[in-house]
Amino acid sequence: MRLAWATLPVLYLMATSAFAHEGECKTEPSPAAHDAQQALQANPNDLSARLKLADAQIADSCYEDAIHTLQEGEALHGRNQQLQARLREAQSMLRERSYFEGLDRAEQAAKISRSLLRCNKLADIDACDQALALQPDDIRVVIAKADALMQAKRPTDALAIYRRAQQLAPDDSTIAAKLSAADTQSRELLAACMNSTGQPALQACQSRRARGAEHEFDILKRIGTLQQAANQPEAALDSFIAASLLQPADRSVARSIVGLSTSTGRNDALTLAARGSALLTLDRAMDALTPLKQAVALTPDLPEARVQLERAERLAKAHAKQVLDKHRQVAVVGDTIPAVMRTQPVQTAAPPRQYSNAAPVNNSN
Amino acid sequence: MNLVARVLLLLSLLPTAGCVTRPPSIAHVHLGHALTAVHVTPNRDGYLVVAQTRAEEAHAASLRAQTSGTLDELKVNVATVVAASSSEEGFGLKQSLVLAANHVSFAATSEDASANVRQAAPVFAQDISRLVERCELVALLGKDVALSDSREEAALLAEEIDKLTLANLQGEDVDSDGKVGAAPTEYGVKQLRAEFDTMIAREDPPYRTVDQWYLFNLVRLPSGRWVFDKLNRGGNIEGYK
Repeated sequence: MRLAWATLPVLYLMATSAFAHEGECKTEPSPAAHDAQQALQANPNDLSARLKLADAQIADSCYEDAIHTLQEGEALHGRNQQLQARLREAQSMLRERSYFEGLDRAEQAAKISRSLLRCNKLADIDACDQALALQPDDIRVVIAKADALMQAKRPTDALAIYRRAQQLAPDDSTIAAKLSAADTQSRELLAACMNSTGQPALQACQSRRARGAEHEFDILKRIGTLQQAANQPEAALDSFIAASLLQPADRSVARSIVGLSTSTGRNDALTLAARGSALLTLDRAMDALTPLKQAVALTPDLPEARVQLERAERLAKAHAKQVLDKHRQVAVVGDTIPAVMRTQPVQTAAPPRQYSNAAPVNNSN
Repeated sequence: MNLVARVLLLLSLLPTAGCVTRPPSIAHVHLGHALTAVHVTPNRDGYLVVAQTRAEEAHAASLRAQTSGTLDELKVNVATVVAASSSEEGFGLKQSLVLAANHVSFAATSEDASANVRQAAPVFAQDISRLVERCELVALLGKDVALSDSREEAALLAEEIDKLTLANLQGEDVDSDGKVGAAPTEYGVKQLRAEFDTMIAREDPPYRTVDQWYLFNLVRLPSGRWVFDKLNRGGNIEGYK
């Protein structure tokens, strides 16, 4: 009961706004406003037409227009009571709208403040992203996110964000200092990643790694190597697959993918596609056919696997033709060999092996 | 004193008595709801009085939260801060301020409102925004505290909540100019109340404390006019029952 009483004034105001004067001023006048406008144009001294127009404008949420209509009427009709009452109402509605807009802004501002606070004080990167989604060009938010990334020991990610901050505020010397600090930290991590060993090296690599940043491929490859050394084959395979996406032609990465996909026995579509691509890189088109076919069968939407499969099939055919041609040459040369030897059939190239999509991945394929 | 003198004395007092019993303006009754009393609040206090009380309660609880020994104790104290700041049922600070602004707005739209009230109402409504924002933020951070399983994180958030409750009570110095509450963006309840009192002081004819009967018997007619429930039919700002 108390709640009902307490909310009555608010509900009243909201209901008045919601039902009678909902939303923004309509761009096209309603039929009522249009008719009243015409009547008033025909006779500008017609108080009744003026009041009807003001009522229609208020109903259309066009409070500024209604105030204008009524203030014009003041010059003609003086302090007419009806006119003054409507003028008060229109002015009140206009104030009320800005009042509710103010409350909405307060709510929005609180959300941003909360995200900023969590971003700044707790290095909560999700909160930074939320704040940035609401205010993408707010320099405070951009710097706060970069600071949070620094706190999370991700200087390379922070670097990119500080650069964005510098674009927004080129004269801010604190940003330059932060950029420099992030750059130094990023270089130190890269050195530790490449030159140390074991867990410290792995941690340094993971901190230094940033999508799209310089040395990303080398770092991924190094992470894979370190994970393999730390007996984490699954994680290592993932790292090598990620590296292969950046540089598909790297043969050492391709060898690691083939080896690790065999030893882990993983046969998900992504792994099979990566294995097929790696085998292609290693010039083993015939061997690449099976995992690529399996990958496409498992996930037909994998576009890269489909392209690689077509490539593998082309190369395999070319290879088969080469072998066949080679045997034909051998056969021609065979005309000069003794007849006794010619009675033996010339072994032509073996037909391409039949592969089943359902065949499990094993050491032989 | 002879009879004639007594009658003359009595007659001379009549105009004074007439002034005392003259009903207040409708606008002043609405202002009285913000300032003195309204029948819906606890103790029937005016909305600004409730706002002051809630702001003090919120700050006291936030101080207790800061010195809480355990995470659970801290959470209980922060929950009290949140209730005092933003509870709708319990007339938290935010709700009390919004209702105070609504009634100042009602005052401004009354037929008998002075130009002073009409000009001051939208400004007052605008100036509660910063306090409302702080209350919203207290509620959001309060939720974070409730969900937190880290004493360290909750303590850090409680510290921020304490700053907000202090600012809501006394104002703050956002621009570091050494002046607390110098602009509406720095206002606390203290400055808001001062703004309201200044508006009241400008009233001509002067604002006088409104009798409780008028405060509790103001009714809005379907036409939008405000009247006093002289026939005791019972009603409220929504109209007669």
